Amino acid sequence: MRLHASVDRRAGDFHLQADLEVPDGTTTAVIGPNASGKTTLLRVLAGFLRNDNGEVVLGKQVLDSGMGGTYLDPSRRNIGVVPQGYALFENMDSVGNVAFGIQSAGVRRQAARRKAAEFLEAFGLQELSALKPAELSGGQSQSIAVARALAIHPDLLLLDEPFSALDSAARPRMRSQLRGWLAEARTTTVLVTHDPIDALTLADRIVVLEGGRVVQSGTTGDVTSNPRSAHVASLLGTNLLKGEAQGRRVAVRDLRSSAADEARGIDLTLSEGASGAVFVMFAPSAVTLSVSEDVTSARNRILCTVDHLEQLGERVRVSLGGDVHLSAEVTPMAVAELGLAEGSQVWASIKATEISTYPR
Amino acid sequence: MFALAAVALAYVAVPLLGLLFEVEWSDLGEQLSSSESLTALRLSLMTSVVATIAVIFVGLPLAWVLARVSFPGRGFVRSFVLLPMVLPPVVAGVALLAAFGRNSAIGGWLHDVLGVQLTFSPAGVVVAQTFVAMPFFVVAFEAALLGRDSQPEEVASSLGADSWRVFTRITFPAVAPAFFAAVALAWARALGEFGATITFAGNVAGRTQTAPLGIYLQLGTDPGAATAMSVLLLAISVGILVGLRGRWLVGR
Repeated sequence: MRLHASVDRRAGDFHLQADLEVPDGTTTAVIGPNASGKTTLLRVLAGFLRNDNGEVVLGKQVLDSGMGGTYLDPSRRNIGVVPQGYALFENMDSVGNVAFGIQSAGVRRQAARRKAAEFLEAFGLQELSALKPAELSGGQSQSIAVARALAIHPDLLLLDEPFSALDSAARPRMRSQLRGWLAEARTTTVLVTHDPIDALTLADRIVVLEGGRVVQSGTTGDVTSNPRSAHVASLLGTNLLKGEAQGRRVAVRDLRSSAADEARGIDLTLSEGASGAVFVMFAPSAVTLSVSEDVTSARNRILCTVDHLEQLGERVRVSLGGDVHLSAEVTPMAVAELGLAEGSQVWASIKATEISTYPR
Repeated sequence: MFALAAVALAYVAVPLLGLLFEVEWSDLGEQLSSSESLTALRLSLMTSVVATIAVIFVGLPLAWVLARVSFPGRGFVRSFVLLPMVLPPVVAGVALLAAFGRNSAIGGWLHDVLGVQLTFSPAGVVVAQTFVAMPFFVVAFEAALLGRDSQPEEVASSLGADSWRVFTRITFPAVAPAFFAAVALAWARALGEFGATITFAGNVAGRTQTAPLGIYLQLGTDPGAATAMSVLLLAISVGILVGLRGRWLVGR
């Protein structure tokens, strides 16, 4: 079912104000840094928190219309919830966990357990049926928690950081399993995550929350090819700056820089003309480093200081400071040849053809 | 430090050991089976059990509300409920008399309309015991509820369970050990109740003379019987402590 939510909720100093549209049968990922309001948003949708203002509508049913208006108790919303730690019922085996919702709907215990067992079998989880939560691994717990939520055939499925409790080795397999289940169930889904891989692999659409506000929303392709916030850019591991373009010249500053930092910044040359306020994006792998100024043919050269070096797989991520902050990706061999270390000075070069711009 | 700690320990141990030395073990059984002692013990057992059931019946919802529902004045209610714990029991008795005595509005109505008299009746003993024992249960059980993660309860409600089903299937199984500990504490307090009982319900043999009252009375006439009954109450207390070991009183 289609979800339309206009959430407005205060909690102390924090104010969440976010609109969310999730088309029927699709998955929307809500991403954002810690304390951006992701979990609060999910809790309002589930009905664990009341909305202060605005409507939450699922299909044609109004679930919450703000203070003084309609409010449906969570038990009367047909919404499946998978919380961050999974919150399995410790005193029940897997069948009991999955049967709980079926039984709550009025099905007798034996019949509910039989249905739950069939459900687990359909999910390929029958060997876990008789196990208690304490006997399950992290991945198995997640599977049972998702099965438990889907067993009530929810109109909306809410997943809060479904992989954060898992070790990184288990994540890819669990991600592809969840992807299969979501595709099969075709349930409208809202997924909260801080991991861009989750959003890229599981979601049709992405909503970016920052400080309780939606800073960007759109299809997964839109958001990743045109990030509009430092958070998304750093999640995607790309360089994102803001600039004022005039033809093929663009004056570039850090995204978070204020008017007071006006003097700081650099000029870059573009391969295609642009005008006005733009975002400037280029991949860390498009940044090459050298110790002297005249080694490469790239037109854009910037003198930087190495802030930080970090091994990422077979590459080294070099965080650079100076008039703007950049990151570059080089081979460990290049680090050795250039003699890079925290504090050393390098020239960063970016080919004009590697830089893309889009309006702010 | 250690010396003073040892003094404190001795302060608890010496009187109890004295009691054990004082008692005539050979005729303990005979002393306890005297009709007077048996009547008092039976009355104590019955009233304290009924009082404990009453405590659970209303104290459990109260503990749940205090732990799970946020409302203005919750802090005040929380402290207020504890009052009988710190109140001198005799004051509790006087307060109960003022509220439920024959000359009070409620007590008069109970007597005239329903024909129920609480003073000088076993029912009055139950009322007094319930009053003083309730906070022990509420404090212990509320602490257990507060210590629980409420996420499984939220998930259960999202799966369509109403609050009763959530409580009986999810909350209660998780806090059952603490529940029984809280019940034991309240029962122990009810069993030992003296001040409020004698003030409110009086000391009528066979009707309101519970074991503690019996002990106090017999101390003058039959010290052997009083000591024997004291030893029995001590044994019950020790039994409760052993049962609670590691749950509530120790190791938390």
